[in-house]
Amino acid sequence: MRLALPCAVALLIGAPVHAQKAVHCNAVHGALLIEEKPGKWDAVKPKSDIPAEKLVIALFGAELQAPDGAVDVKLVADVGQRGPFASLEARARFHVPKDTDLDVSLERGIAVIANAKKSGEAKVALRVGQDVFEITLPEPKSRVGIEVHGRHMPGPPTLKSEAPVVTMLIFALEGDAVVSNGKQATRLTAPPGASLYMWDSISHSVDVQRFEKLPDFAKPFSAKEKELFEMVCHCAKPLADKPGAIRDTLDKLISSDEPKERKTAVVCMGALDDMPGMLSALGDPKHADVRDMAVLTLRHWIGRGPGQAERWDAFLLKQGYTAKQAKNMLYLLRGIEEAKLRQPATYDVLIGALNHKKIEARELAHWHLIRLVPGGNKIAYDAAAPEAERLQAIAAFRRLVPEGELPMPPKKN
Amino acid sequence: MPMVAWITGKEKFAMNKWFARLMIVGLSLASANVARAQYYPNPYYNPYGSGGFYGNAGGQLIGSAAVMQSYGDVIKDQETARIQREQANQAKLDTKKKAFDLMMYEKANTPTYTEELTADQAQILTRVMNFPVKSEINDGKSLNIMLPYLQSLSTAGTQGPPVPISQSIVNQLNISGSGTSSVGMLRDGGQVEWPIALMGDHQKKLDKLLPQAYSAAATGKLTPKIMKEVRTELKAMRQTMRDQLQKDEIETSSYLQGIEFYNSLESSVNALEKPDARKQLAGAYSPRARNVQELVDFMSDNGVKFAPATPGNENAYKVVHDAFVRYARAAQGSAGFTAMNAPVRTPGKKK
Repeated sequence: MRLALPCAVALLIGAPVHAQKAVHCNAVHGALLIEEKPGKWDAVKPKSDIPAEKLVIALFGAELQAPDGAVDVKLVADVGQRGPFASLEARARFHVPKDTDLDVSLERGIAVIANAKKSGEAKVALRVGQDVFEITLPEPKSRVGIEVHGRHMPGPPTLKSEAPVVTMLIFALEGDAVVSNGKQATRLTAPPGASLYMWDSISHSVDVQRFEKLPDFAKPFSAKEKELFEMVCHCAKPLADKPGAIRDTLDKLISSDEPKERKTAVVCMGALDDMPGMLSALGDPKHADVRDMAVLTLRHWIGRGPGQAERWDAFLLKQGYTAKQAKNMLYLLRGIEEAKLRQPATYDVLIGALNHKKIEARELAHWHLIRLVPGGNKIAYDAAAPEAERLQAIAAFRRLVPEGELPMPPKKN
Repeated sequence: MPMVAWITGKEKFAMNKWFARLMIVGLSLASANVARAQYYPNPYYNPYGSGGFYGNAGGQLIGSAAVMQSYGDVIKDQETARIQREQANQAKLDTKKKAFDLMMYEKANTPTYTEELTADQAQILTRVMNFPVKSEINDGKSLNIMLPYLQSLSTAGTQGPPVPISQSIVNQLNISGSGTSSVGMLRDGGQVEWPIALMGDHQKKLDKLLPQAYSAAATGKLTPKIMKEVRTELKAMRQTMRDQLQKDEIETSSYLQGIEFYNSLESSVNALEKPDARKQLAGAYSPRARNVQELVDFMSDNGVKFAPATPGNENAYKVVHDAFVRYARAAQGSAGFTAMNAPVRTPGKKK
């Protein structure tokens, strides 16, 4: 109420409203973009403040601090895919904290939160969709890693604002932490101990897992991983340098001779809702790595929240796809349900689609086949290759999965 | 020289000449022996001589002794050999005994084929009851796995409570002699409820052909000509679907659903040719059952099995599966079951 009145007055008199500071940015690795208005991005510079309620996207790392310095926050993307989910970017929205030291909506990605006080506990309000969690870090240096990821269940698309399943993991990296979801409070301890808190938006139930030591996904970066992270951040840095020319930067990156730059461009397209860019990447006639990354990025993109699949469907229709073609693409992006994987007809369809007239459909069919058919990844196939070569690959897949049969299980060594 | 006292004079002269020659040789030999003895003293030197020049009597005795000794040695060697042979025989017996003991140990600790089979079946049954796979339920496999177990409970007098199953659910079950194929999809007089993906010209033709095939099979007048016509239309229907998929005229999920339906229909058409088709069509395999026990009894009495579900009737299989599990759990919890069933022995864990 205290805030609402001056804001209303300011709006009436036409004066600019300065949003309240929610966090302070200490450092940026790559680019930290803030959405000024839908589709318009600006870069957050190091040593600057981030206003409340604005969407920020870390491509691919940022070090932030609560206004009173009580909590340190690191937004990170899982570029090396160390964790269980493909967290390609970190998206968050910070709010003005009321009874806590930090208030954040983590839409997806990884946030590492640490108690930066010299003494006493620090409290963080964490919002995931409509659910709110309170994380208490009882001691200085207590630290937790949070990962939020959404994805659709495999199966044909229904396109009725079906919400993807959101999974949240909280891992105690150092010291203790207490996570409360309003109904129950759970104490986490860094390994050895009950370290992992798991929650999902379907069951809304909590599972806790004990770890004797830090799992690989929670360990600090190795020298090689650090090098990879820095390299990818370096690729994304031009986005921060020229936030007004994002389209040009991405075009330049995707046509690079360097595979890492091309892949980074595809991930950034997904993070920044560049649908034409993603469709173009999926049908890239030159680079198989771009097409492969586009499949992963699109699967990640449609799982971001309710309505994403419908947006993609509508976009495809605008691009001249028929309704059935659009549905087929969405089906393959979501994945094939388990019951259908036990049907030989599924493999017949996928193998047949390797020679589909659209390169996007061919790429998606191949993406599934090499994951479902043991030995399929050894068959040379390029969705952009001439038809004669594609037919050879189809014959090779047919030898692995004869018509009307299921793939043989992998050989045991 | 008592040795030559009984020899005559002539013989003495001749003897002397011979003797003199022998003495020369003997002396030279003796001197040689003496000389050699100086350098190589023999610790086993015999003071009584050993035949030859030093005395034939001693030599004879010594020879006899040697013979005796040799004979003794032979006897001794023979005895030693006998002892050794006996020892070898004993060792053989010992080895045999050990081999036998080992064999008995292995046998005692290795489950028999029957035991292994029983343990495997128990494991499969446990999995099917606790972690059923949807496709196994729809195929009727899980019901067929549980059926003998429920029958055995009944035979042993350990019956569960009457778990009810509605007749409408029972009517949706496909039952056949083999358990692999049934005329299920055609049992409504050959009328089929088609999914949208399969509707079209071929569907219209099949709508006429299938009732004909049904009637012919029910009256035992099914001919290869009718079957050929039906199969030709079916194949054409499948090819049309494939073409539609290739041209993006049909959604992938609809195609997969259509193919699933098509496969069931094809299986039902093939079942028309099976020996028990008439029985199936006449309703001999249509159980009247109000609960699990009655359904199990029907299946047992008629020696029939559950065939795969007709698309759209999968839920009935799930209901029956749940009812079977509830029945089995209740029976297992009864006092009679606890007394009757010893724990199943798992391979390699015999005490």
